[in-house]
Amino acid sequence: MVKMHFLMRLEQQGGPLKKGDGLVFSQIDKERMNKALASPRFSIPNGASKEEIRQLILGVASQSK
Amino acid sequence: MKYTVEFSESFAKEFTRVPQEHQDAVLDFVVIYQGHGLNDQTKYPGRVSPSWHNLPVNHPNYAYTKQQHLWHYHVGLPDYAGAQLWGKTSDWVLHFQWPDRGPTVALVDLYQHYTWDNKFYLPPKSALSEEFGD
Repeated sequence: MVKMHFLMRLEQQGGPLKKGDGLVFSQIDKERMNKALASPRFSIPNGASKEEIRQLILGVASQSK
Repeated sequence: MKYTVEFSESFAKEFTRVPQEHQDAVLDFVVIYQGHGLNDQTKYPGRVSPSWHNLPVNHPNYAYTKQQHLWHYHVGLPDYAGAQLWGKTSDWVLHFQWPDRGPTVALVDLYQHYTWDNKFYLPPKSALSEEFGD
């Protein structure tokens, strides 16, 4: 299955959110979320066969706008 | 260690536009990378190079490729040059981002090494994963 890494990517971009970060962080979080949503990335599962990987990539292409 | 390969929608669209032979070359790279990473390049028949390699530091592409962690892999199409077992070169290369030589690569583009006017082709910034750049 295709796994989208929005949350992981958000953490990579700005580090994990901490309790008490308040309004400033909520604004940053929105910016980071928009950035991640603008260019979604997909992971290739380890152990998948070449044919499975091909179908995964072709499937993403067929579903993209 | 677990090695992860990622790709974007734009890469997926490009993937549909190349022949199966080219797709197979990409998939070969993915499978080898997931199994071995990039630290032992003898696992790869083709050469893996940082795209700023051999560029003078004042060349505009030097900063671009280094900041975006752009590397490329010679996929062996249409053929490999050289008879050695690994590190061979070819006309077509697979561009990818490999930030900080870590456990993740992002596939970017598959293209001929040089453009019609003999310039080294580099994928545009729009094809790159923004958060992988500096």
